[in-house]
Amino acid sequence: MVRVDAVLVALAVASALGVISAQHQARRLHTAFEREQVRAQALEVEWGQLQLEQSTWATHGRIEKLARDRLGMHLPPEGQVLVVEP
Amino acid sequence: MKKQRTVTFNHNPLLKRELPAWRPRIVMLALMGCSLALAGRALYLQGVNDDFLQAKGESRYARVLEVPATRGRITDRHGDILAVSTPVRAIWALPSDARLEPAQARELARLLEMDVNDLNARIAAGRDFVYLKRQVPPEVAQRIADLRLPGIHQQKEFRRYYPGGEVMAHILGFTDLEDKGQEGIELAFDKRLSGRAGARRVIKDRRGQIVEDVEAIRPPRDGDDVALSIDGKIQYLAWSALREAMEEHKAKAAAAVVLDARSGEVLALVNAPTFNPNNRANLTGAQLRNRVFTDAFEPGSVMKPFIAALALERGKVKLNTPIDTGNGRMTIGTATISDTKRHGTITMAQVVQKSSNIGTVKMAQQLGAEEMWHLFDQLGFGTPLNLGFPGETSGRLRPAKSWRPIEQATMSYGHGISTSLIQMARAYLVFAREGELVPLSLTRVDGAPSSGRRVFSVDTARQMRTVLAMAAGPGGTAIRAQIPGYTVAGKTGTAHKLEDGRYARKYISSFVGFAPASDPRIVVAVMVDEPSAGSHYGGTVAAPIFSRIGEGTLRTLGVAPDMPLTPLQLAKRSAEEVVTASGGQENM
Repeated sequence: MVRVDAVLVALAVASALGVISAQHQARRLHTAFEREQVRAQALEVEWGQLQLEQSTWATHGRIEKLARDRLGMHLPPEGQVLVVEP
Repeated sequence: MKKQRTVTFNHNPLLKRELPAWRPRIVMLALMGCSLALAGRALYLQGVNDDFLQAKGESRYARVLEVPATRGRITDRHGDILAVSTPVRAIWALPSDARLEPAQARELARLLEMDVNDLNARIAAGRDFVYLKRQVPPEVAQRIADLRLPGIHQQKEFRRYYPGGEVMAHILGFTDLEDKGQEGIELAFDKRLSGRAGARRVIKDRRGQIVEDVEAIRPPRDGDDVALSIDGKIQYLAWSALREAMEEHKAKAAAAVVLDARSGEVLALVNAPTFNPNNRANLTGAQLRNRVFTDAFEPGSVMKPFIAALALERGKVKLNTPIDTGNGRMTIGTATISDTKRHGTITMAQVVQKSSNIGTVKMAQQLGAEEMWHLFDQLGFGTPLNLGFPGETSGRLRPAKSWRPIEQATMSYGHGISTSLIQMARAYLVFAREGELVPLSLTRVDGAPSSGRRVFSVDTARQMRTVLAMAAGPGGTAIRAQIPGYTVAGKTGTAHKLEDGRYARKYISSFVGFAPASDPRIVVAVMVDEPSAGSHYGGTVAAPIFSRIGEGTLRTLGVAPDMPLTPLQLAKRSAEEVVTASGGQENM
């Protein structure tokens, strides 16, 4: 009888420890998950900002200005257009 | 010496007295009663009232957090970003907690770029909650957070950026501070763009840190991206052409639309004057009006080709039928209709080419009012396009039964009926698309374009194309609509503006046309409101804008020129020389 009790107590203790460690594990994983989520979000945000930056640099108005002023480009006059027919 | 004491310590003479039997029972009962009460109370708290207390307890520590969802991006047809939301912070204060040292207040004001007195006044305003500043960049917000000021809090929110600025302003519209669509595409596609914020329940400790994620109530769903049919480059071309024209003609306003004739997609849509959607301070006033959609105007002569086409379709006239326009004046009832010039007897094609009001009226008189109304209705006049754009006008088309003969006559040349610019542009698709009308699309159409609804026969549409090409050619009203290397077709319009029900000496000049005339790829509609620097005719004001926009658009789309010019012939010869010189490459 005493032996049975001892086994049951041991089992209960082991199970309690198991619960504790599982809980701990869950919390740890959760924080890790949280961290990754925050990182993913931050990357998403950064991507958006980079896209924004890219399209700001690539504004048609800016490109036209640079092409005309700095590179001295201009639209070809009619006579200089070459049409290559297939 | 020693004396034995007979009295022990536990001896109490009082005990010797017999207690009455009822006293221990009373004490016993009282104790039992107390413990029963305790047990009962415990039972009540643990069992009966359990749910309520659990909820109360949880509400002290459990919090439902909102998980914000990002609004979708708007891109042009090539995937270039036109609008994107990035997170920013709102700085707010709890005035009851915010007791700032003068130095702290100064530092905060400096970071927020506010006046320190203004800041103090806001905090002292006596409200429970006050926004100090919204849409603060994250770096600044971080520095404010590092100050650890009491009663100053932050909240995540989004700010929308429009890299296209004023070029794209009217088509995109803008959002409010809560990132909800207010105008334009932002409003029209708000459902698709706006995400749904998620929620999760967490348990926080006393310091407000999350200790446990209890459950995700619902995951956040980010808004969908929307790819517009707009081509950023064509939009820019149209915008700069319009801006120059506005200056040149000192106009009050101007608008232009470019449609893809094959798919019915809107390639560009520009209004002037415009605004910068990135600067919230100027998001008011008339500059916000998207005239292309919201302003109905009497189109004037651009209406004539439809009447001519209907007369052609019904077999009332042929292209070479002579029409007598007399001396340029014609009386219907008490009203007089006149041409700008006397044309005498001209062919039906020349009526459109020279834009003769009298000739058009004579064609319209051979048609029934019901017939004309049906045509206008089929072309979409009088019905909003239902693209979901806010404030879309339907234009004005009265039922045929109420038309008087003079009204039927004036409607044939575009007065007494009003349309928006986009309705007019769409109606011209019937000529550009072999007599078919397709629904327009503001979003990119992938796959086969939807089949249209037939309004005119293929033959009529083709004949009208040659007529409209004449109108934009030598001897026509719109010779300045020519695009080097391409054949163009189109019609000018110069309409008096209606002010308080009378025609004022103010004009709306317009041009609607398509190119290349042989196999149309684009339809361009241009409208200039109150040009006041000399000329006000559609042929001199609006047609050159068409030419500029059309030229750039055709080049951008890579449409092969369909009209050989002398210099091009020269160029071709030298191309052959290049080919032979480099060893006769094939398949050039």
